[in-house]
Amino acid sequence: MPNLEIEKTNKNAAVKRYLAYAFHYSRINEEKGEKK
Amino acid sequence: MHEYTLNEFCERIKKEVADNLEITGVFNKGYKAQLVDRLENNGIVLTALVLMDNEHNIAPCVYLNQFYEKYLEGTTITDISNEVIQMYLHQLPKENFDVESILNLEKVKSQIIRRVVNFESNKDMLESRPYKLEEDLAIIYAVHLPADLSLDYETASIPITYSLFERYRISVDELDALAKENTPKQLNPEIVELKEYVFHNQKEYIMDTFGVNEEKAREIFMRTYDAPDMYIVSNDNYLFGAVNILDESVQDKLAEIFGNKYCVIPSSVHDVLVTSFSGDYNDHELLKEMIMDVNMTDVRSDEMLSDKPYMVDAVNHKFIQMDRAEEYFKSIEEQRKQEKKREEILREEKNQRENKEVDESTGSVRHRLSPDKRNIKL
Repeated sequence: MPNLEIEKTNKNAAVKRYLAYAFHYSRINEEKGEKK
Repeated sequence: MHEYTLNEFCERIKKEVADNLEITGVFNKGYKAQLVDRLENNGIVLTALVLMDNEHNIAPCVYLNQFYEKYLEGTTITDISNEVIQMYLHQLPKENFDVESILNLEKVKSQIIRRVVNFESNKDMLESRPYKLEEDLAIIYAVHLPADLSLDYETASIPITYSLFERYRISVDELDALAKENTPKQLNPEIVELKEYVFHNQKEYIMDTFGVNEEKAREIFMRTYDAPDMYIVSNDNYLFGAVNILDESVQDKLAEIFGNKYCVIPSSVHDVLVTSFSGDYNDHELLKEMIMDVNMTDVRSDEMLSDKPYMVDAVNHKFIQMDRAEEYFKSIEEQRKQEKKREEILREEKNQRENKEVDESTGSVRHRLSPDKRNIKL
């Protein structure tokens, strides 16, 4: 019998990873800027 | 006190829950209790408790792993059993599920969609499912089901395994073509600026904290939040939307923002982040390090997509691993030069042909003067 999978969006988890990326990416850009 | 292993814990909960539900008379026509190991994304195995009553052809399954963690933290077996029972009662089916329609391709044709997962981490799962490779990612397929209040869900899907796929009697290419067309129709692609998304989710908090309206809250947020230019690509419910980065119209829209070449960060199976390309292909090392960091600390292991950055060539609608992108774009540039050269040669040959006219009656060859030469007065 096929599996029916009920799915729910986890907005908090999404915001958490987006903020983590925004933070890390800004830091990378800053570091690259300083090296130049 | 003896601490249960996961297996012992699951057996104990199964007995507690079944005994309690029997006393309450929920299963007045009999039932079957089962512990089932389910293989989830990225090779994660979860144990589910399934209680199938004899009245319905569908049964809710409750994953017990999260409850085992609670047990280890000190929650009692009785409290956990009660919580699991509440979840069951909330999800008990009110009607039978129409399985026949899922097995009939004509009926579900327009609901077949694509999703993307990591190939390497899902090799076991992929043994039972048709898939297509896109770099080191695997495109898998599911039947998307719209909200059904009688079964109490807003979004649900049925994975297309080989047993279901074989009933459809089509090839993987045909399945992929159907799913490629349907995915954006069933779940609208979304391209949202990261800054906007975060603001949208935090505006209530800012408005409450500062006692300001939305406009003012936006001003405060934008002034204090110095985010890089990043866009989120997903779908309208932010579930398994990472696959939309492979959609050609999405790639075209992103090209309007970032140009024809841009970077893709695989933030999860639900979404990717898109940033501009700095011009330095060596950035892939830095980006890879960042992705590994975030995956380790801020992404659930069953939601991880990849540890590698990617790039999109929006002109040719190509999705490429960034560590191979330099080579790829060089070969594209080389091809472009070769084509240009070929075109020049063809143009030259055409010109030469036009400049030569064979007078068929005399068999002599007469050179037609080019326009500037015709103007020369002798």
